[in-house]
Amino acid sequence: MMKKLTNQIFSAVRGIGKFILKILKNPKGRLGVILVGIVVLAAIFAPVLTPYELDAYDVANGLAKPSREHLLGTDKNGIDILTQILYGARISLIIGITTGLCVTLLGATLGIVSAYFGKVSAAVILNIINVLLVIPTTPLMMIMSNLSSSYLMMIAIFTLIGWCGTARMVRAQVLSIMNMNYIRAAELAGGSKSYIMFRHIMPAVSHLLIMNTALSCAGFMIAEAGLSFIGLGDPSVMSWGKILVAAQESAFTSGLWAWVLAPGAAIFITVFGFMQIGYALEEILNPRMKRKKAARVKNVSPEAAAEAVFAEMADISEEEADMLKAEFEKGSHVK
Amino acid sequence: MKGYYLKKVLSSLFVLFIIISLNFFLPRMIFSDPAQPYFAGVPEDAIALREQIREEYGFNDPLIVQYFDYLGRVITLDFGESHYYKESVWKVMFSRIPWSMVLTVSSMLFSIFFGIIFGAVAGKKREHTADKVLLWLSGITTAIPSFWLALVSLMLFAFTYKIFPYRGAMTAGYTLTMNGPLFLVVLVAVMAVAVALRFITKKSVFIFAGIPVSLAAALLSSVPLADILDVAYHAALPVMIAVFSGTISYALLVRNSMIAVTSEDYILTARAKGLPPRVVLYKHTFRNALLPLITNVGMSMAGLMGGSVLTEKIFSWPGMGQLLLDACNNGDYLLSQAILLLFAVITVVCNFITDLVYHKFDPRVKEV
Repeated sequence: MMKKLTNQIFSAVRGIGKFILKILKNPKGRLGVILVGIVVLAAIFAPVLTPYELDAYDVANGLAKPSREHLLGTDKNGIDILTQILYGARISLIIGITTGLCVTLLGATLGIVSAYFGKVSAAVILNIINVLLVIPTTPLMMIMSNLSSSYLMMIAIFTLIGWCGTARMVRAQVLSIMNMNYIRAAELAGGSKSYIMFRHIMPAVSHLLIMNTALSCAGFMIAEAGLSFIGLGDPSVMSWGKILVAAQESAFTSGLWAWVLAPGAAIFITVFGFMQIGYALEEILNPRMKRKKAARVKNVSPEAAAEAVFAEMADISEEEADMLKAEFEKGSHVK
Repeated sequence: MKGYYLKKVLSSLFVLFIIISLNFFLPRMIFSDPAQPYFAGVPEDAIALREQIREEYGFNDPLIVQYFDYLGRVITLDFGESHYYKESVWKVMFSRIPWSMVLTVSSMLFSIFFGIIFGAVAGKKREHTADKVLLWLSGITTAIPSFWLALVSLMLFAFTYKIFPYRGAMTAGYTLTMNGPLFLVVLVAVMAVAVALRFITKKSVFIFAGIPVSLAAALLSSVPLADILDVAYHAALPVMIAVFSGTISYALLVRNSMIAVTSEDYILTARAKGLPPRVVLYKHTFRNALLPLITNVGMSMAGLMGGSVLTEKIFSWPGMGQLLLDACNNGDYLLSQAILLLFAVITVVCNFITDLVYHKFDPRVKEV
């Protein structure tokens, strides 16, 4: 029993290791992992990387230009901008990753339930989606921010509104695999609905989910930056959007470019990294993804196109095909 | 067919009903005292007066009575008075909607125009320069928050090089003089001419050209030229930022759909019957590739009146987004409720119209 368990753990670890290697072998994945890795390390080791504190007021040294002591300069209160950016990475990553995971889990579960658990649950979930899609997110967010300005609230609202897209995508995918033989076989073998849902359907859509998590992490990071820019962020934590608000107030007139450019660059690096990981995962996990045929209308000769059409007509006899071809070669086709 | 529309109408009404209810319950969940906005100017210790106001506006009734009262007011379109602006909510909203539309309508028209051209060029030749540039740009623009782009361009063009103004929709001290009825009359008249031309000549290009032409004619006839130029000067920077990202997203849509359409059988057939490549490309591929654009444009129509909160905040533009932000910060929940409801109604109506239009353009769509 014990041995079986250790074996299972070993193979799981090996599987994860192989998977990470695969991501690293993919050029996009490598770029993404490096970029995200830098940001994650910066967020974790923020106190080590910078000698300054977020509450180190030094008004006499306010609005300083970038220098040896302050690589990106200081804000109005003399707080180091680089320190703010390093600490800001924490909240951006926390909100992005947590929301991405929550949205995908909730969306996947509800998407599968709506597709697989009968008409009533489908009707209920689809109607909820219809309502949620109509509610404008930003205004709702503004109204809800009166309730609590904690960043947990932001995660909660993002999750509550954001799962619709994932659920729709998963639902469409599940509907297309629901009638496949192996699902039927599992049903005949007496598997319960929830067993089939988690053991057979979930793995079949997992590639979508993993990719979706990476991409929605990226999306929610941008959303978080925007919302904290309009003042809906948590007032007690530093975030990139907040740095930019302060920058608009004072950096513009004093020409402190680094203050404006650096937070944007930080957002770009993180989001771009997550997107690259997402695209790499898509390429690795979805073998069915083939490059679609190019739109090269110009390079196809009419003869080749006609050949292809005749090849498509599998149900006509050879004589008929020959007749059609002869007619085509005579040039009696429509100009 | 009738059943389909009936179902659509019913589900839209249901969605609206849910949103109205949400609108009623949200402030009651969030604020400790929903009567707060009515107490503007009433001192803290005037408890008797406050109680009287509470009684007068029905805050002491059972919740269910208040709820039906609210439903009744929504149906009669009575949203009350904004306690911050001391004016009716309708009046406050209507003073802001046109300003938002200046930004949104112009950037949408430009984005669609450039997006279609760029997308068609990119979709025509895959893996060629235009296509690569488009894909590269779309990767970049999704990762860059557009509000940061706006900030950087504001700093560059309004502060470092003083080319554009840095705030507001008009030069300080000026007000817009506009002949509202004339605007509407000219707009409707020119649009009617465009529709008539379309039916006479059977060329739908008149409809598409009619929208910008009628807007331009109406504006030119009802607003003094100096005012138009002043507003355009102020709107240039925010519109350019929006057009940049808008163009790329529309172009990507057109390009992807061009590629999808090219592998359809009817394109093969068109080639097989010997049509010249130009005709196949523009008459068969390109036209069908524009179909997904309808849904997309329909969806963004809903945002036209809403404007963008971020853009309006950055450029201090007096639009709806800014109004909503202020309303939330001031706790003016009658106003924010009305705005939320207005946005939702517009979205529902736009979705409905989009469905109808799409069905007209693409009869293959099944009635689901």
